[in-house]
Amino acid sequence: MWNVSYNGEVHTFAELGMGNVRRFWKNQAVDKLTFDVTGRSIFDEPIFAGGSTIKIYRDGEKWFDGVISQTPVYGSAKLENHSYEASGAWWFLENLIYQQAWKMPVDSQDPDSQLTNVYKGHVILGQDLSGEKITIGAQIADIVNYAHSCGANLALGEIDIAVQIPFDECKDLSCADAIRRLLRWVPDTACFIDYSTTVPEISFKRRGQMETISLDLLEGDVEQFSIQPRQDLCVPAVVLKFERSNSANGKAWKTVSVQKYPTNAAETGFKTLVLTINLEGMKSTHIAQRITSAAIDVSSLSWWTQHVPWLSKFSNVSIGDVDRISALPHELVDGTVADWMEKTVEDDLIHASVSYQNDDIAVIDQDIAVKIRATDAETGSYSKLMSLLTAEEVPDNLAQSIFESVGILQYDGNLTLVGREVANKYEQFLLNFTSGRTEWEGANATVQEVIDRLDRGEVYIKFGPAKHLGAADLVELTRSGRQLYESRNYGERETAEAMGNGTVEQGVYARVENTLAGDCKYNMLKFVDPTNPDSLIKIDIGDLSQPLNVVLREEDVCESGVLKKRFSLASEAFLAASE
Amino acid sequence: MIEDFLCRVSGAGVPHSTEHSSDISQATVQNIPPADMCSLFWLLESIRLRYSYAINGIGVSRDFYAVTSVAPKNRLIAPVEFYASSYDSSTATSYLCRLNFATVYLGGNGQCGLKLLFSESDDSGAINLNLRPISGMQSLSQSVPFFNGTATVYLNYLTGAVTAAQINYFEILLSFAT
Repeated sequence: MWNVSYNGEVHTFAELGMGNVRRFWKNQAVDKLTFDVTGRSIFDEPIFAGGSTIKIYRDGEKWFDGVISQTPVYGSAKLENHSYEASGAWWFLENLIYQQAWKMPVDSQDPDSQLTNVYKGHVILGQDLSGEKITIGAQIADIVNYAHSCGANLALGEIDIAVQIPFDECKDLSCADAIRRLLRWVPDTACFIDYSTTVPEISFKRRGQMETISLDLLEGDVEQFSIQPRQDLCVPAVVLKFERSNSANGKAWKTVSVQKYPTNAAETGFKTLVLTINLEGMKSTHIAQRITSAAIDVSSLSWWTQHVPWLSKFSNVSIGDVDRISALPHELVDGTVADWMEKTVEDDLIHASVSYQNDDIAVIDQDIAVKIRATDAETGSYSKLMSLLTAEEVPDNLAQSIFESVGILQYDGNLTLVGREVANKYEQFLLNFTSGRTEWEGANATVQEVIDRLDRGEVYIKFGPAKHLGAADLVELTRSGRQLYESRNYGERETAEAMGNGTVEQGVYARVENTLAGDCKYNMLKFVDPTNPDSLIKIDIGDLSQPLNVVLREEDVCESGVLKKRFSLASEAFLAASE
Repeated sequence: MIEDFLCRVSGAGVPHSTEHSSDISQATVQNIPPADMCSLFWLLESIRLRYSYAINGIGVSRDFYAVTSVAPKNRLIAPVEFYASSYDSSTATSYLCRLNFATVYLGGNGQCGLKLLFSESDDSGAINLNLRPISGMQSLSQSVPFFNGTATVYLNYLTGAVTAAQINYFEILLSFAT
């Protein structure tokens, strides 16, 4: 017993004049219900308004739930009728752009402000908001739930596709396109909608997860039947070559990793499905800085000579009364110390008193000081990772999963069942055929298309690989790889930071060295006639037997009888020591 | 020609070993600049005294030299004294000239003084020609150039014995080494 519910009222088909009721179902496409309403002038208002909801019940159970999408009318001398097309729940998926949440700073002017979720048509399939890989099943669930949250009369039913895929970054896909894009990796998946629930539930099942149903070819209701084994679509092996472009510190290189199934399969076999899949490689930026430091040995004459080179010209150099500001053990000789090195740098001023002899001419005391950068950094190369984008992981068992779809002999064909009440929704089952060839009994054919003629009790079933999805031959199978480019933004969804960016911190503390010398304090000064070394003048502070000032003093002299003045070096007067 | 020499001297131009006295009244020649004092000490070769005087109508003329044997460059270590003396039996007079640089006198004005000794006297003690007046005697005086300064010569006499006294001329001529 078929009924139609519209505008809150339930009618039989006959009450509304509905005839030629057909349901068109295609795998991963909009399921449609079409029917004609006879006895209506083309000028009459349609019974079912475009955009309105119509529900079909079979024996009290909801069998179809859709939206009136087309309302063509037909008129001729003999006949006038209204035709209607209602689209099933997949319609919502076809007409809604899938958007994913990305983390974005609340303040567009401040990248460090709090992050919030912003939905964008820029999506990365196979990834959750935390940046982790998710399975096809989880991704499809997110898509369906997103559609449901947007008002789609559709909810998620059963799905268990535990296959991970390479990140697939794309823009402005409808939910349906996104799902189809995902299911290219598992082309043996059938999707069907259960309308018996209040909100239609969409389920996705791989061939191995579906129940089978056997059709007896000798039963009278099989009007026509065709079948062919598609050895041509059966591949002996699946080889996935994941190509990664890596870069570190401006150097780029590529790596290829191979995943194949069966694991001992040859990569070069005919019909072997070889897919080259680009994955984002590792991207890293390091900053490196070579530091040369030397021990600060203020007790060492050689250390002082390095910093006060003119000391090397003198002999009998001695250092004393050393005092310094910093206690750090090294001085920065070359390179710069940046904060990221987590090393301490201090300006150090090292004072000392130096005594030295100048070619036996003078003995001098002098205060000197050396200003250096003291540090606890030892000589070596320091580096810091400024940015790192880890390579996208190779999806586990993807080759096996694909092989399970395309490595098994599938049967392609169709049949028509007549004279039976349309009851089963055959798209939910794998088909086996009895009373034919033995191998057909285990055909496990996936239904790709169903046309139910409700009023005629006729069912047309097309089974086999999903030709309309483009996975029907080897060339089409490779489309999964050809249309996939590495995701370049997969690291951004969670962090809101552009990938590969890192602030390079320049060094702050470079070597500094200033030598300061105080006034010379001569202890001995000797003037030597270069032509006669025995002719010299020596002024030696050591000759003073007691503390005295010896200075130039003006005195009177008689020069050949003429009174004049002169300066002479003379000490203060002092009392001679008593003998 | 003197040998060139150079030696440390006091502000008065004489060796530090020379006694420096502030009792300028002892000096018979005063107002000598230190530069002149230096020349006198180191370069003076002789002192020539030429003078003439008359007592009771009897004229006396003298011309003699006081000299030293110490060369200039040696005057740092040897005492410098110019000395001359003699006796004139015809007039029964003795005369003397002495200049001893053992002491220099310093005036408050930075000028120096010397104690130049000169004396001519008769045996009776009636007359005395000197560079200073003698108390109890009548004196005639005459200013005498001395280098760049002046000295004063006094003709002292006893009025009971001398009825007429006169200084005709008096010169102190200095000769310096060159």
